[in-house]
Amino acid sequence: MAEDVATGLAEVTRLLNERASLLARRERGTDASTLLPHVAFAAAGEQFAVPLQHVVYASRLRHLTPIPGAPPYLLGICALAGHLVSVLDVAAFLDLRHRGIHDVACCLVVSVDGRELGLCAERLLGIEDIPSTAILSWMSGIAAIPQVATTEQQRLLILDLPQLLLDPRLQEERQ
Amino acid sequence: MDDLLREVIDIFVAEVREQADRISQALLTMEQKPDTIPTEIEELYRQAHSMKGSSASLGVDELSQLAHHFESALLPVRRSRGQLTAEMVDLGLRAMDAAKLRVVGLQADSDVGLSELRQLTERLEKLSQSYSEHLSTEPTEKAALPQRSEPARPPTEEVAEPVFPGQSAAADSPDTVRVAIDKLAALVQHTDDLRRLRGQLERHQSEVTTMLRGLEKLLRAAGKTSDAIIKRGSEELQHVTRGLRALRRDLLDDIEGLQSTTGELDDGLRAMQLLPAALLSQPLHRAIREACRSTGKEALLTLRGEDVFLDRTLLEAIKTPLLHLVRNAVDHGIEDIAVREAIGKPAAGKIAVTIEQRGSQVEITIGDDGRGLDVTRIREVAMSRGLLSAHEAALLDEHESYQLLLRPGFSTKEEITTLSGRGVGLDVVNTTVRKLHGVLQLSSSPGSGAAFTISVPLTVAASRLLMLEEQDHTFALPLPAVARIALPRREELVVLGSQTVYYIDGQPHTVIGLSKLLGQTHTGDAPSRQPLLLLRGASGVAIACDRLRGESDLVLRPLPIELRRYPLLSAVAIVPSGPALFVLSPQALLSMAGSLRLANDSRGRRRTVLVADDSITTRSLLRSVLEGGGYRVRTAADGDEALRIARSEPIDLLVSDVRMPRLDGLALLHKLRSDARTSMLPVVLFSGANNEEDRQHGLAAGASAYLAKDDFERGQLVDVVTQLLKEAAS
Repeated sequence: MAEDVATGLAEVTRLLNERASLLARRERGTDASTLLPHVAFAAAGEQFAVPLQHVVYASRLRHLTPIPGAPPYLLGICALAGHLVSVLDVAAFLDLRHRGIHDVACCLVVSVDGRELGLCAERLLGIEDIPSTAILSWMSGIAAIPQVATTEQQRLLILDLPQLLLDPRLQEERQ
Repeated sequence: MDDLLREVIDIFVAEVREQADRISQALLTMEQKPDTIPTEIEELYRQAHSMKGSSASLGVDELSQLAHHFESALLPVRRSRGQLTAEMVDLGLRAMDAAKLRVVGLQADSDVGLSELRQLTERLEKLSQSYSEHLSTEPTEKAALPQRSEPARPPTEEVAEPVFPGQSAAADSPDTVRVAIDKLAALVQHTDDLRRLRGQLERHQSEVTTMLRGLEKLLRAAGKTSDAIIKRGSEELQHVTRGLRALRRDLLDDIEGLQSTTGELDDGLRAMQLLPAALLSQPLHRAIREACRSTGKEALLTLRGEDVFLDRTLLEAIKTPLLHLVRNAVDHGIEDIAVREAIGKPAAGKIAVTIEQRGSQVEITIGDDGRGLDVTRIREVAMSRGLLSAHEAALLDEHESYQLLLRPGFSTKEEITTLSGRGVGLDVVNTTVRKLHGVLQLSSSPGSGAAFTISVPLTVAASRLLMLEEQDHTFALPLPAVARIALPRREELVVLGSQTVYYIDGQPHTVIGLSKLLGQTHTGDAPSRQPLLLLRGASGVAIACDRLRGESDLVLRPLPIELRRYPLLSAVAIVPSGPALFVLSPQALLSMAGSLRLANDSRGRRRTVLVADDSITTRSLLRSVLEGGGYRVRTAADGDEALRIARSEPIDLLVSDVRMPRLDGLALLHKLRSDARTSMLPVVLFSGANNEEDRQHGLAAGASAYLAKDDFERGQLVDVVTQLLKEAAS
């Protein structure tokens, strides 16, 4: 019976999440000419962008505690204004690092369904209002970067954060 | 959901869950102790009546119907006209579970739990009808079912609802309020932020102090000059300096005030989250009851320490492991009734759960009077699953063998039942205890029972931590997990081959560096005094680090999801000045250290036996026999040479003749025993004298074993050496 209660709770949580997601979709709208705000940052010679609604905090990195036994793409852990996050080197994680060593100066704290993660950046480029028409599919074979936004000045690789967090390397599974 | 219900849904859910829990507890108590029925049934009725009334007044008819028919079904018991049957208890417990599930469904405005609830209501109604037929002279209580327009109120003669110690009181009490846990958690989070703010203020205060020192230096230099412009400037500087001093005083006052406020907030919030261990009683009783019913066994639970108050988070977290352990006790520990009776034990087994507060730790022991843990069987299963070789298994002592039970997937049960046999229970228990920064210890007495002891910090919100440094990085360990700290000089550490050993109270402890445990290579020199940590539950292992950085009370945060796959890390602590640091898991460190030590002993280094005999024939013979048994052999022609080798080389065991030139076997033995470096060395006396008096004399002098050359057998010597080395390793 206790298991039934647990199953029931899981079911209720699922229903609540579905509703929240439906409401969010309704509010977002689907107008092709919409400007979509993104936070852009530079890392490993690339420029990345993440949808603004996922960004909860951005700051210079003062303290970074290395994680013993962690792979190189997990740079460390830091506490930023109450957000305790692992700091991920996105470029290394997605195997995009090909232009030498860069200094990590900033951290972007992103959140998906309450789960937070830090993304390391060499520079924060600011908030970019990207016209939805400028966003194109990017057939790179990298699931976490399905789209790219190209303007005259720059090319932004748009990160799909829910997809990124689904990567088995970022799951709880014990070694 | 209508508006009225929406307004109070959170309170209603909490109330119904609490009522259902109390009813379940009363059912279990009545079933186990029939003499409590007269008092417990009244408590049960009070709760059911309240559930019926509040549900009806909010229009939650399905719940008021359930409570009503539940009351009716129990009426014969209340009027002493019928017995409380197992069927009634089953049905009642299921009904209360259904009520708890249904309110969660109501909260989400969904039908979750509705059909189950209705089915159970029907079954209760049928049960009550069957009694009504028997008791046709008794009036039914149908008229008592309240309607929404007429909210039920407890009869005036009924006593007010008792407030369970430490638990939030009834929602309508004027002196108390119910607070959702997430709101409390948010407050804890804000306290954490306040603490960090205090750290920032301290930094500002330090910066102001530095500025003041600079200004004062400048003013002293200005005072030595007669230049009018500089003098005017210095007057203004003095003004600024006075302002800065005032600012520093204000900052200090603010820091002190903030420190005091955060301390009080911490204490208050912690106290608000304490609950009595008595809340574990009902789920434990129930788990044992269900386990007994599915195995056909009998067991009685005694719970001691119900009045110990525990952190709410801890209580929630510890519940599942405890349920696993009591189910295991029934399934693995308690024997079948026929077996118990045949060996003179009472048919019903005893399961005792004792909860004690010991300083800042809570110790929970789950003991049973069953068959105990079978060390031989545990080792056999470990070998059959390829977890250990026969040689490694032979090196394990009793305690290390028990630890095998905690490995993922390990089960000695040959069949899989709904209760156990999948080898997940103890692994889950161990993992949870580790996450709570605690330790799980096992003990057993064959034929008399087994005991599992969980020691966890009293609160998981903030912990007293020991800060330590390794390779320029700071880590923390929960202080209660540290049994002892030693600071030996470098020369006090004994290097034995690839191992470093430190003797504490005459007992050798293998020293393992923290870097090695963390999978890193230690670079740099060892400190002149090496900090060594002995963790609780460790046997023969000391963990070395570069420096100790003192103790600190820090709030712990759970690891981010992606870091939970690293077993050595158990939490993160945030230092007020900013950096996060990892709290290491003592249990995982111990487990890793044990594996490293075992690997070192069994694979990394062949054991070395020193043979001391003045006869070259005997030395050659023994060398041949022992090398054949897999040992490395060093030889010495007399006691003096043997003593020198034993003191300077890594020797695991000595086989020595008694009569030798320069230093005989007994004198050698005496010198070895009086030197800390060799006092624990196993020694086999291999003598030409084959009489009982010489044997006793040798053993009294400190020999581990005495073998006569007359009776020499190759196999026996190797067996004795292997056995002694196994004992020494444990």
